[in-house]
Amino acid sequence: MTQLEASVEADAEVLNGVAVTKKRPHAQPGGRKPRGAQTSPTVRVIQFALLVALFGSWQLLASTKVLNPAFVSEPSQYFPSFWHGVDGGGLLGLIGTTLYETFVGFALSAILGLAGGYLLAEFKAFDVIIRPFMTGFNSIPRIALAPLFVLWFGLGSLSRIVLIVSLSFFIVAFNTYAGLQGVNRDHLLLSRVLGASRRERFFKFVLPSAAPSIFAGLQLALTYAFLGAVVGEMLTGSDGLGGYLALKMGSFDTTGFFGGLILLVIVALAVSAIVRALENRLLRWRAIELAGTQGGGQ
Amino acid sequence: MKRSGATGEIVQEPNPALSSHGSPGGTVVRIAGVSHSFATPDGARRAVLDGIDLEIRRGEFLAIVGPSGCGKTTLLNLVAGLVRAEVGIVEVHGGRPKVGDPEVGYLFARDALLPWRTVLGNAELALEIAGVAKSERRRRAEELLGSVGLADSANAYPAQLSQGMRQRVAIARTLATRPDLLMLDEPFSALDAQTKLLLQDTFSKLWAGLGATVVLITHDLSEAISLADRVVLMTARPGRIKRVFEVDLPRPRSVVTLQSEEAYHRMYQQLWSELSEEVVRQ
Repeated sequence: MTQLEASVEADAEVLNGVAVTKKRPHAQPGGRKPRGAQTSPTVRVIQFALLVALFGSWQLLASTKVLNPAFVSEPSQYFPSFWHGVDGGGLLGLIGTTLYETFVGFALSAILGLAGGYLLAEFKAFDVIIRPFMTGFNSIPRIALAPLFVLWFGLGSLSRIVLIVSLSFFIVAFNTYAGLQGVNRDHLLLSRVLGASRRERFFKFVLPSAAPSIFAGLQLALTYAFLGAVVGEMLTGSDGLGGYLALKMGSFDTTGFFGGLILLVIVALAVSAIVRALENRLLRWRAIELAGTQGGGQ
Repeated sequence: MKRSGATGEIVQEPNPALSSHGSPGGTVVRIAGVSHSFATPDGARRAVLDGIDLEIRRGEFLAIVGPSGCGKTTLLNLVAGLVRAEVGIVEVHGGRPKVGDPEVGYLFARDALLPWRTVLGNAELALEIAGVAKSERRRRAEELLGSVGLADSANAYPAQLSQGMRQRVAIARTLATRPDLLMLDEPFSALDAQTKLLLQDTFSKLWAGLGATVVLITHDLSEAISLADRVVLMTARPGRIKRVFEVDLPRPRSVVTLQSEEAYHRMYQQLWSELSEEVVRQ
């Protein structure tokens, strides 16, 4: 595994809170509690208390002028600002643009990345010739290319979509490649002695075994797609939630800025919750396997 | 074509002419004059099998024992068609061995269960690939899971099972296609002692109802004696057949109750004294 892929996987672990791509030893019988089981009420209470403490102390420090409210605003200001923005202030329309760019960019990255990863895994020549180029391009900080994309593709959504694809494509491609490569040798032997056709081997043995890695790649790609959309918008300062944030910052309206940020956080959390629910549904076996390892092993 | 010195110790019926085609009646696997070697990293060739002659009769349970590295698994790979013999003839059902022959079932030390499939899904796998219709394969898989004692775990995932239960699923998967020839490569070696005894008994009972020919490769002498009709003892590498023992213990046998039979212990002693010579020679 290249350093690059390793860093992608490390990212996956941190950003998603769940190390789906990490290889674990075989599950031990015993612990059966699936991951994502109900969080206990005590934990919820503590989390809520921490949230109250965060915003409470923020409010206190800003009200007493220990921190300059012009720089950090204050919760009593930016929560209402957020609400006005959502309730008739056009924030929903702006987030609509951002989400449109995110999903179109993500969908393109997913399609191209799955195809690219498949080609890399399946065709040796493709792997040997093309992969160094991919690794090289992927090591460029793509955000630095954003102004170039604006020059080429204009101030509209298209330049953001291109930026997203330039980020997310590689994540999907490399994770797909790693997943397709990591098939258990016993399973391949079994597919041979059972007389599986090429097609059956791919769909019944290789693809399901790659699914957790592919899914982790898609999850991370989605995070990067959202990031790409917002950062791209901020750079051009024109459209979407990123444009709104850039505008507020440009006019030194920290309250408006934090108001927009709240919406950003809510959307990001909602998207990741949906993805996690999807994962628990599609990869239930994986959750059981990991739970078994954690319960019985360590 | 036979190599000199390879056959002196063999206690067996004479080798059929190598040029004859078609398998004689009652023979499922015919191995004649087979020698094989592998390339070593430094470019030399290392002989693993040397002049093997063996006929496996229809319906018999044959065990192959020998010291580590004597080419037991290579022999199995030759019969499976995964490797082609350098010298000699290997025939299965009168023809060249075919990889993926639905008439031949395999069971390995590692169960190779697919973790994303339920127990039932794993039991159906071989049938699915063999192209058996959905309702029929479900029925057969459920029936077999019942006979290996896993009817209640059909919807569990492999990660939720113990090692012994996993191997039971593998047995169900293997037997579901009703193979005529079963190739077992140390199928119980990864299990703890008690689970192993239980599983050997389960397998022995299932086999009695199947009439399939079985080739069992094992390290475990008591396993070989308690399950097999004949035990083939191989020499240290390069592997030759040192002796073939007929096990005339009455059937049905129970792996556990055999322990009190004197004939069993005599055979064990005899096998061990011959095998230990080979183990020491390594």
